[in-house]
Amino acid sequence: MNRAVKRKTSLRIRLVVMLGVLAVVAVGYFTSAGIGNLSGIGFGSITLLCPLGALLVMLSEKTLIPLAAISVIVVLVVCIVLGKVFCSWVCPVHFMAGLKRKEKRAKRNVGEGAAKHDGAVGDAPERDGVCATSKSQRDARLAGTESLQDSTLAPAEGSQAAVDVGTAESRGAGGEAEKPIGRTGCATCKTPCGMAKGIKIDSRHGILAAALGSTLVFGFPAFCLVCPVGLTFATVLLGMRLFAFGETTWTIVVFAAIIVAEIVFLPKWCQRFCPLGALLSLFSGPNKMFRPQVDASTCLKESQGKACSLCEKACPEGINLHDIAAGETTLNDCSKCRACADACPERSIAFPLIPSKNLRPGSVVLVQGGASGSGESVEPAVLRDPTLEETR
Amino acid sequence: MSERVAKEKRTGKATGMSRRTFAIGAVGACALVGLGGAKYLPSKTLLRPPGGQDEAHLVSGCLHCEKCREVCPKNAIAPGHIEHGVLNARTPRMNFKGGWCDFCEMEPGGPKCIAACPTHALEEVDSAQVIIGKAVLNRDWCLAAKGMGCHECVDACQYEALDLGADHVPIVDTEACNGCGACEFVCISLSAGSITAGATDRAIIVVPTEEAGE
Repeated sequence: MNRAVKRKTSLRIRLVVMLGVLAVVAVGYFTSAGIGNLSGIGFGSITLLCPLGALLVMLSEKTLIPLAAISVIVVLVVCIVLGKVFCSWVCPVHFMAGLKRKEKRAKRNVGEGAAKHDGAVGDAPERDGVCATSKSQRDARLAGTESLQDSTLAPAEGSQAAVDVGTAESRGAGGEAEKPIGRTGCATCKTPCGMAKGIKIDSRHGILAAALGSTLVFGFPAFCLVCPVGLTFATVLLGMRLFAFGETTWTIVVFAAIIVAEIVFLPKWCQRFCPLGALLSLFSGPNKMFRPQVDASTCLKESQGKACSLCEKACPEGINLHDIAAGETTLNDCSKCRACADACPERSIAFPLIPSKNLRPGSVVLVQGGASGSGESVEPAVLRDPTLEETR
Repeated sequence: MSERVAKEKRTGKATGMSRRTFAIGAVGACALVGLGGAKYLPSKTLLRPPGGQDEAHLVSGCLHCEKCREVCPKNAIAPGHIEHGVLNARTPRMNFKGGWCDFCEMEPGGPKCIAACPTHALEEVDSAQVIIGKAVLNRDWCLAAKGMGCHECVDACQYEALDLGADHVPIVDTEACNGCGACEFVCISLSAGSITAGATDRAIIVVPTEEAGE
């Protein structure tokens, strides 16, 4: 009971912070202070512009706007110090997307339970041997078993795999050397097809590039037209004006529809589409403070080999703390929402101010025995207990 | 199976990007570039706050932060709506039903909206040179034309752009008018409970300069 209460603490604090910002903006709308909204918030010349908006405006006007440039630099500094905190602590869209995620998760849990009862997990046989895809598969995989699978599957992949191994290694050279032994990104590819560190390019970055490009071509910040963050604040304003002045307009309906379309109908707006998030995660590259770290001595998966992936499932950014390289996002995308820490049954995840040397970020360190020994002893345990999560 | 792996790797370029991610990125990027075409959709010419008369500059620089609207001491600025054109939504427009523009003549720093604009979408201008629009009188709706003896707008005008004609109906001097909106703000027709048959707006309204000749 106590734990259940405690678990929601970070979510509650984040919600209060977000609603606080929303309230300040909403009150500001009807006072003459000129606080503005998240597109540009502050008093007078002490104003912080949306970093993406600032970049877009400078591109569309093709001039350097002092306040815009300063805003971008300030956001960069904040990201280096705190990381991508904006997303989970201030952005209202992140919360709305979270509601959808929650619903989906509830549905999936029901479905998964049934599938496991039949003895087959989804499309596992079909995908066997393919780069980490199926979540349940990834859950059941352990550092030790990975190396075993690697050796058995390597011949089948033949030369293609070898070529890919070469390219992947050369590209991800930076992070590779520091990896602990026994930790591979992707079970069947021998080397990680993704990187655990550095910048991972995904769909959001493509959209970010398109946002910058279309602004340059057409000469106006096109993304702002559909930015769900801006539209949320616009909808709040129009709602207030509707009640205050009886100002009726279709705009409020259209804006609400755009927000709903982006959050509900597009799969995972924050993780796959948001160019602002992409920009902030690029800025958060050098961030080292408050990064989540797994204590391998208490983590169920890493110390006992249990098929626990609650932290991965809880993460709104899709980071797999047990194996960062396997996910499409890295710790650069961590918005410090603490959902993983709250979800962890063993309280193994911490967000230390300074990264501790004993705990590696998202480490899959083999605690006892080393690679070969633990691999054999751990594998049967996993096979025996695939329904660990449900029993808990 | 190995073909599939190979394909995933080709599209993912060994960055761990799946085909799905690649497709979402490509489609999203194309959609966003296509969104730029919204520029060519028809849009209404709106009355803009001082400094926003260069329409292209305003639209390219406005971040929709609402600061200009908030700081306006006369509450003469309202957000644009989607009915005014896709690009005009959320941009500032003058709404002389709520107030009128005195160019913040009492303020030391000139118009507050210009000072508040963080991206200089509203440019620094000489207030005396700004023409927001031109006032147009609709005689069918004007109370003075009905012999009611109303001259509210004439009294409100600071720029001597309004005068009573021989039939005691106000006449707009388009040369002198700068579209400050004081006349529209005080016009009694269709406000303060007055009803004029067939009227859809106040009898004197400010319209964009290019529409004033009609």
